[in-house]
Amino acid sequence: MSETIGFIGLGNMGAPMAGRLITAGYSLVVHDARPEAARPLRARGATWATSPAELAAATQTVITILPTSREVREVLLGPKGLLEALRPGSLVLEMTSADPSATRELAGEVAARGSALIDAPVSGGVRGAVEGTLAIMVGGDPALLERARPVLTAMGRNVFHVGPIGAGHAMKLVNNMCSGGILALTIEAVAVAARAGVDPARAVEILQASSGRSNASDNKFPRFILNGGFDAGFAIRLMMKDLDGYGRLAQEAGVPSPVARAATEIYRLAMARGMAEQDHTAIARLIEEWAGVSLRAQGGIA
Amino acid sequence: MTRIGFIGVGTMGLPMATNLVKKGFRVTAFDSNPEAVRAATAAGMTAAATAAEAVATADVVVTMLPSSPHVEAVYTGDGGVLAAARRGILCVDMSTIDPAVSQRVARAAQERGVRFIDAPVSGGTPRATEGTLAIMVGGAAADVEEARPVLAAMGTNVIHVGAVGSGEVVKLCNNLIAGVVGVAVSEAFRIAEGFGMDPRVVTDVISKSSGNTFLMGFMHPVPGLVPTAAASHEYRPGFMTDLMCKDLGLAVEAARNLRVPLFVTPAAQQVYRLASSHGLGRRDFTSVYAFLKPSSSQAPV
Repeated sequence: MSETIGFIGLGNMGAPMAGRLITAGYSLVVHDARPEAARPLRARGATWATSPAELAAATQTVITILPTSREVREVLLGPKGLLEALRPGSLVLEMTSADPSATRELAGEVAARGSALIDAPVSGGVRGAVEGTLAIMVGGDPALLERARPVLTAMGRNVFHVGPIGAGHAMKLVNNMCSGGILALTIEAVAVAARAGVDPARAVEILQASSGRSNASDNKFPRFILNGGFDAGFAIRLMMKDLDGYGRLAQEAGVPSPVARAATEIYRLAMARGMAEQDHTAIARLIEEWAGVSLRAQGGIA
Repeated sequence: MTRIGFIGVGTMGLPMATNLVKKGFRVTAFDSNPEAVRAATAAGMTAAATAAEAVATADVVVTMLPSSPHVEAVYTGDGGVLAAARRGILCVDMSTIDPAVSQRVARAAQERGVRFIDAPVSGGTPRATEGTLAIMVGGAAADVEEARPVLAAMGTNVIHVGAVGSGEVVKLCNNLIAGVVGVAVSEAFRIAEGFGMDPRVVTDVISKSSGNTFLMGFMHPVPGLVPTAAASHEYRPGFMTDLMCKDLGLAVEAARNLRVPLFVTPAAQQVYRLASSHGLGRRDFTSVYAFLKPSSSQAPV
C-alpha cells in the first residue's frame, strides 16, 4: 500500500496513531506546531511539511488531531492553513475531541471549497493509540466513512458511524462525561469505603464483581490509582475541556444535567489546585486529601 | 426634550419605555414582535418598522433584549444600531448579558464613533412598572451622567459601578445570589412544612435571624405570605424561571472562563432547568418552591 496520508498533530495521541499508519504501509506527510515532535516518525520514513498548506498539496486525505477546536480552526483557516492548498475532492478526518457546533461550521467551510470534513474522535487513551485498538466515533456522510474506513481501521478496532456531521464529537463528549463522572464518583465512594475500614484494593475487587462495576473499577483503579502511578496519559486540563463541552452540549440540548455539573467542578477544583497538567486519575489525590485517607492498595494489588 | 430610540419593548422593555413617555420623553419603539410594537403605540410611543428607523432620529438609544446574541445582532448586524446611528450618539444597553459581549459591542461602537454603556436592571416587571428599578451602570463617567436623566425615569437607584461591562458583572453576581437563595428558601420552607410548622411563624423568626434575605421579604416563594409576591398570584412573573436559568448560565460560563470552581450555582441552575422541564419555565422563578413539592407521606421510602 502506498497511499499518502497527511497527519497534523503529533502529540500523545497523534504520534502513536501516525505510527500505526506507517506500520500499516501508508506513506505519511506530517506537521506539528513543534517540529521536534515529528522526529521519531521522520526516522521511520515520514516526510515533514513546514505548514498545513504544504501538507495539503501532497495528499488528498488529511488527519487532524489537536488539543481543541481553536487549533483545528487555525490549522484549517489560519495563514498557510489547509484550506489555502487543499485540492478539491480531498477528505479531512477531524479526530480531535472538539466542539460539535464548531465542527459543523468548519465542515461547511471545507465543503464550500469542494472537499469534505468528517469528525472521527477517538477513545481508548495512549495505550489504545499505540496498540491500534481505539474506538472511533464518526459523524458525517456514511459514504465518506467508507472511503476512510481502511485508514481508520489501521488505528482503531471499533469504527462506529454515529450520525451526521458533529455527532461523533457530541458522542465523544458524552463518553468523556461518563468516563470522568464515573471516575470521580468511584474515587469518592472508595474513599468512603476506606474510611469505613475496607482496603481500597478489596473495595475495587468487589466493585469489579458487583453492580457498581465500571471502567473506573476495572481499569482506572487497578492500573493508575491503587499503584499510585497516575499515568493514564490524559491530563486534567483536557478532561476539563471535554466536561465543559458536555455542559454546553447539555445546555444547547435543553437537558437538565445536575449530576454532570457537580462532577465537573471536582476537576475544576483540581485545576485551581495547580493540577492541570497531571493525569486525570490524579483527582484521586485531591479526594484522598479531603477524605484523610490513602487509596493505595494496602496489601499489594491482587 | 430628548428623543429616545427604544429597541426591545417586551415584558420588561414595555413598562420601562412607558415610564419614559410618562416623564415626557419622545420614544420611538421597535421590537421584532409586531404585537409588542402595537402595545408600545397604545402606550404613546411612535412605532418604528426597523431598528435602524428607531435609531435614526434618536438622541439616546436604549436596548432591552433577551440575550447576548440578540444584543450583538441588534448592534453589529446588518441594518443594526451601529450602522444607522449618528456619530456621537449615546447607546444604553439595559439587557442582562455576558459582560464580555458588552465590552465587545462597546469596542465596535467606538470604532464607529458611537458611545456605549451597559445598564442592566434589577427588580422585575413590578418595579419596572413603578419606575423603581435598581440600575447598575458601566461606562465612562461623562456618558453615565448624560444618560442619568433617562435612567432616573425608569429606576430609583442608578449606580455607576465602573467601566463598560461592569454593570453586567454586578447584575450577574446579584442574580447568582437571588437564584441560589430562591432554591435555598424554597427547600428550607418545604422542610419546615414537613415538620408541620406554620410558614408565617418560620418567616417571622428567620426575618430576625441570620437566614434573613431580601427574597423572603419581597418575593417569598410560599404562596400567601407576601401579598405582592408572585407566589401569591399563581407565580405570574415577575422574573421567569427560564430567564433565571439563563442568568445563572451566564455566571457559570463566566466562572468557566475565569477558572473559578463553582458548586452551588450550577446545582441551582439545574434545579431551575428541572423546574422548567416540569412546566414552570414561564412562571416566576420562585415557583421552584412548587417544583420541590414532597412525595406523599403514604408513599414507601
